Amino acid sequence: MLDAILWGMIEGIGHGNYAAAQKLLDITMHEHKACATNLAHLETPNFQRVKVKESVKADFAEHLERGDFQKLGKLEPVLEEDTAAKSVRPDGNTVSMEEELLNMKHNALRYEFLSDYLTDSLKRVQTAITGKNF
Amino acid sequence: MDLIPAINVTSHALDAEKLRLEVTAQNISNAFTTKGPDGLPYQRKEVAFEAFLPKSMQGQAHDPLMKAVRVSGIVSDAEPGEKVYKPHHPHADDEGMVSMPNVKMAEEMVNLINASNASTAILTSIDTSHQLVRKAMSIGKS
Repeated sequence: MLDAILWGMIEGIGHGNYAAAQKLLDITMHEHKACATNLAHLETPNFQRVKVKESVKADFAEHLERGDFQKLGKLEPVLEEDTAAKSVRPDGNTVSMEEELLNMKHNALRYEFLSDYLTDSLKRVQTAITGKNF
Repeated sequence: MDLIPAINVTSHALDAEKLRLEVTAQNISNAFTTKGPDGLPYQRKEVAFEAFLPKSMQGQAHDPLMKAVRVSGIVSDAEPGEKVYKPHHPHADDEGMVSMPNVKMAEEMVNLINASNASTAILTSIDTSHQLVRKAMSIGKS
């Protein structure tokens, strides 16, 4: 009960964006894991690049649009093989180093923005509770 | 928030790339070794990579597609090297021909650059992982 009230307080400040940012942070972390795995397998013959499952991202967008933050919170990001990636190398490896590094850098920026957003949201709650500006 | 597997995976890859660099350097340094301990000219070596699940990640909840990489073996290239006419060479046969190692310098240099680029990319990945962990730990702090 108390948790629900508290959660309502946070939601009241963040308008559901807080829950969405939390889940997006989780997805971003999985994106980073996928990039790290791909870079680790730059020289593994026949390695198929991996990515975060597209259906997870589609579900996230759908739940966000509908404002269904309960379902959004239950999303579990998992990795899948990127079957659309084609190999131009004789060993059948579908990883492109430049592309992965670029994805990783974009992803790191996204992660930084989201964690700053979460910190800011928490600070606002702290300010609301204590009346002090943090 | 578990970023340690990402660091685990990439650190294994860095080990594998380091070995590849060492093997390539060994090939280059033996490009003119016409007689090894077995009495034969040096044969170039090549590393073979394979995906595996490290012990540190076994039994943990993680994505099955997230596997590390390691060197499965170092294989000798059986392709014969060139024979050159050097009658005064100490390793020349009765016809004055010397069997040279099968090392192609251009190929080794390309391997060296590829391994070096891959190592740099892996290091960047490890560095980014560290940054993300630090950022995650700072959530909620002013």
